[in-house]
Amino acid sequence: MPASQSRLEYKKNRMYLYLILPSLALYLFGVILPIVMGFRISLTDWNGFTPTMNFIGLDNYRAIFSEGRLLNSFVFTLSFVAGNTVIQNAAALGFALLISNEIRGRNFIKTVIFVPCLLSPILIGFLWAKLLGTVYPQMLGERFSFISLLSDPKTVLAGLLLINNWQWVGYWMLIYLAALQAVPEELYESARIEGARFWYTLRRITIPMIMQAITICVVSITIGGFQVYELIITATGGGPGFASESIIMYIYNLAFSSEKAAFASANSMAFVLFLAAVSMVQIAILRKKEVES
Amino acid sequence: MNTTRYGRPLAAGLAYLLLLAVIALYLLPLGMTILYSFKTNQEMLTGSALSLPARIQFDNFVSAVRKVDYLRSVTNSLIITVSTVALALFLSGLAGYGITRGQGRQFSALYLFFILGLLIPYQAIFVPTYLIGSRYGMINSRLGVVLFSVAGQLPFCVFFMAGFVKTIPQEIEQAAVIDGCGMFKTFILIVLPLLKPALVALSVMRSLSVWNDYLLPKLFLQRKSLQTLTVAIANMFGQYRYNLNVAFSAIIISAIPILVFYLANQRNIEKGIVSGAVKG
Repeated sequence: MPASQSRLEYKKNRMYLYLILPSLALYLFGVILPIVMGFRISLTDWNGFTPTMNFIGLDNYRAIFSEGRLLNSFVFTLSFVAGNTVIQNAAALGFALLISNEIRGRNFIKTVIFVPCLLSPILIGFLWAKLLGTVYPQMLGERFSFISLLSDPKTVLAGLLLINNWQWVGYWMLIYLAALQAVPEELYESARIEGARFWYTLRRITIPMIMQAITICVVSITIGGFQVYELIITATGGGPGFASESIIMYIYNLAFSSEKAAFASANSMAFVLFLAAVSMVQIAILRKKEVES
Repeated sequence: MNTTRYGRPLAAGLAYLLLLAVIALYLLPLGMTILYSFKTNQEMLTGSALSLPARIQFDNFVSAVRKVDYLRSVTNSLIITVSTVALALFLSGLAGYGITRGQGRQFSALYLFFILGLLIPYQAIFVPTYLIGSRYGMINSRLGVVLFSVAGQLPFCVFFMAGFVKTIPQEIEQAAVIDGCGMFKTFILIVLPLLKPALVALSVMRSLSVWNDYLLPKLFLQRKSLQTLTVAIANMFGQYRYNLNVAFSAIIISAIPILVFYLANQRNIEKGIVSGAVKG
């Protein structure tokens, strides 16, 4: 290759680099720098307010495992994620299957189920807290007081799962709908000719064909589930007591209410690593399933 | 689209029933919200849950508007959302183009570097974010919120735009270069129009998430006159104890901007959601 050509490429590459530079700078400042700082803070005993900051090494990280409330929020968040991922995927796929048939009012149904995801979880959390706590009990009377799911520590998880899924099922339903539409008719035709029933068709044809969508939905719903925070603020405030304190809420309270900024940072770092690990495992497992089908 | 994918009419009937139950689950909250937002305080205390208000009056709405400083908080939300999305689109459009068209390992490394950001929820780094913000005087500055918002949006936006640029064949640009266009002109006249559907889809989706954002505006904008709608309404819910009628009307007025936005952009929102997922 003549020298002038590679020099031209070099010049072009330089210009492309310039295009990337502003984004890179902002990304470094707004995302990477906080991460690095957060890591440095997590190695100290800073409380977030007074200027004293002493290096204490990995003490914060060791303390994470013995801290009671963290364990509590971790267990809660984990249960929430488990329930949420299963329910939301199943329901979204189920609704998508139902709606992929031509029923009257299909678009109306689609819209109604979808719209809640546009609103802030703050609104939804408050709305349902009042519905479950005040409006429905008033409507239904004494015998149905169990419907106040959010005021009992034993049912608060169920209540939050109900609310969160109510809000988000429509969003994932859209994705599954699009994936379902991409499945070629002939597959269903030949299956029906051979006498395949519903569950068989579902298992052997539908699911393998939409594996890519399933991967995306499962991973995203899981990550989203771990980050649950705003919904809980207005729905239960973490209560009753600390029964519904999610990880993010716990970290926030650590930093701003308990004045333990460094400890909060350590928790944040650990949480980020944990999330990354979970995501990678999930993607690995689901990608394998994708390839198999 | 074939209608008898399930085969048996019994299954179809069950499906209808299920759908009906689902509709009830979604329309009942809406109905109760609207109903309550028109009740007067008297009716709240004396009537039962389902009792209809005597007449339609908007006192609750007026109260709600005042409590969340509606005009001002909506304006703040609007300023922040529009600025963030515009800046994010601009930066990620350029970056996505540069990353995709650049030859060499440094570009794939940069791409990976941005993608890594997708794994990091910004709530996990809010403590240092707040620190950096206060050190550089960005607290109580809408610009500060915009900058950090955009930074947080960049991983996904760059990922999305890069993916889209990849689908644009380079021959068109090369033809333009042969015809004498410089890189800048090529970008503006040829690439940008082709990127439009991606930009539209991205802007619509990002607008929704920025508008509803709670943590960042809450941390940074502490002065009441700067609060966004989402934060203002969360504060109101925090204080308000039992006057459901005003609270419910607050919910309605908060939902209005988003619903208007949705009605105006329904197609693009749906397209954006689907394409955003498929790119993964």
